[in-house]
Amino acid sequence: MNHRRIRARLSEYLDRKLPPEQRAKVDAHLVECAACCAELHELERTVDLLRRLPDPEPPPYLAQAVMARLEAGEGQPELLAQRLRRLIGPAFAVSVAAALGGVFLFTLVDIEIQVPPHRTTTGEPISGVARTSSEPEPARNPYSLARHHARRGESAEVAALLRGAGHPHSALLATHFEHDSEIALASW
Amino acid sequence: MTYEMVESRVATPSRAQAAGRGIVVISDPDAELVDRWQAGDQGAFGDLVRRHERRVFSLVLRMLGNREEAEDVAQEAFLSLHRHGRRFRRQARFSTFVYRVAANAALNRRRTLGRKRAREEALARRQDAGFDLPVTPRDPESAASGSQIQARVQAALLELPPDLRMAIVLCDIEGQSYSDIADMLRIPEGTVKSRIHRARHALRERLQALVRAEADESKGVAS
Repeated sequence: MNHRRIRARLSEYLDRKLPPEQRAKVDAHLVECAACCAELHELERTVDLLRRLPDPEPPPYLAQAVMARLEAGEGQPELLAQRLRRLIGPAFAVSVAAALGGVFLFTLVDIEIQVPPHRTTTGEPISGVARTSSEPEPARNPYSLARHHARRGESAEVAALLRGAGHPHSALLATHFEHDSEIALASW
Repeated sequence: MTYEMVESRVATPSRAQAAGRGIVVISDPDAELVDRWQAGDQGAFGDLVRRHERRVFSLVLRMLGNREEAEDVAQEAFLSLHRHGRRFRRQARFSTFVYRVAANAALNRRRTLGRKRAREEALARRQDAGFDLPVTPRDPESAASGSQIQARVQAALLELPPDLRMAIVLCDIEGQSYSDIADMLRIPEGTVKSRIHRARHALRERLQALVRAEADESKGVAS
C-alpha cells in the first residue's frame, strides 16, 4: 500500500474498522513510515480533543416545555390534506384536487394518519380533530403567546398564560416561572 | 432478513437460534416505553423525552453553536418525533430514530439560518472564543487554559461544513457507530467513513498548534 492509500484508511484504522488483512498492511507500513505514524498520532489527538469536550447541560425545563406544547396541540400528526398543502402548495393542491374530482381530496380530512389518540387529563381518549379546508386557522395558542412573552423577559405574563392553559405540564411550568423566573426565562 | 425488536430485559433467543430463523435480534432499552407511547400513553413519551434530552440537546448545540437556537430546535425535534412516531419501524433502536430526527432538525435550521449568517456567527465565535459550556475545571490553575482549549475546539468544529460536522459529532462526540450514523443520516456507510476522515483531517489542520502542543507534552511526560 502506498502513502496515499494508507492515509486514506487511517481513520478506519483508528476506529478499528479495517478488515484484518488491511489492518495488517497498515500495521506493517506504520512500523517503517514515521510520517504516516505521526499523522496517525495527530488524528488520535484530534479525536481526543473532541471527546474531552464537556457535555452541555440541557435547559432545566426542556421536557416540560415539550409536554406543555403537546398539550397545547402542537406536534400532532398532520392530516392528509394538510400534508399535501404543505408539500405541494395550495394552488397546485387545488388543481390536483380538481383533476381528481378534488372535493374528495379536501374532504378526506377525516382520514388521519396518526399514532393512536392520547388521553385527556381525566384519562379519556382524545380523537383527532376533523377540520375542513374552509375552517379558519386556530387562534394562537397560549403556549405560543407564552414563548413570545418569555423572549421579552416577561415572566409574570408567561406564568399567567401557562396557568390559563389548564394542563398539568403547563401548570408546572407556570410554577417555575413564578418561583425561578430567572432560570425559567434563561431556559426559554 | 427480518428484524425483531426485543426489550433488553426479556430473554432473547440465542444468536444461533436467531440465525437459524433468519432473524437479527436487536436489543432496545426503549422498547417498553415506545410500546406504551404508541398505545396512547403520553406519560411514556414524556419519559422518552427525559431519557434522550441530553443527547438531543448536545447534538443540536454542537451543530448550531448557539444555545438559544439549540433549545428551540431541541424542542422542535421532540415535537417532530411525536408527530412522526408512526414512522418508527423498530428495525433499529429507538435512539437511532431519535438521533435521525434531531439531526434533520439541526440541519434544517442551519439551512434556514442561511450561509451568510452562519459565516458571521462562526467568525464571531472564533473572535470571542466563547461558548457557554459548563466548565468543570480539574484544578483552578488549568481552568483558564482548559476552557480556552475547549473554546478553540468548538470554534474549529463550527467551521466545518455541516455534513462533515454532523458526521464527526455523531462519531467522536456522541460515540455512534459508522453503521448507525449511516442509518441516521440515510447515507451509505462508505460516505460516513469518508466524511469522518475528511472532518478529522480538517480539524487537525485547524487545531494543528494545539494538537502538536499536546504531542510535545505527552513526549515530555513519557521521557
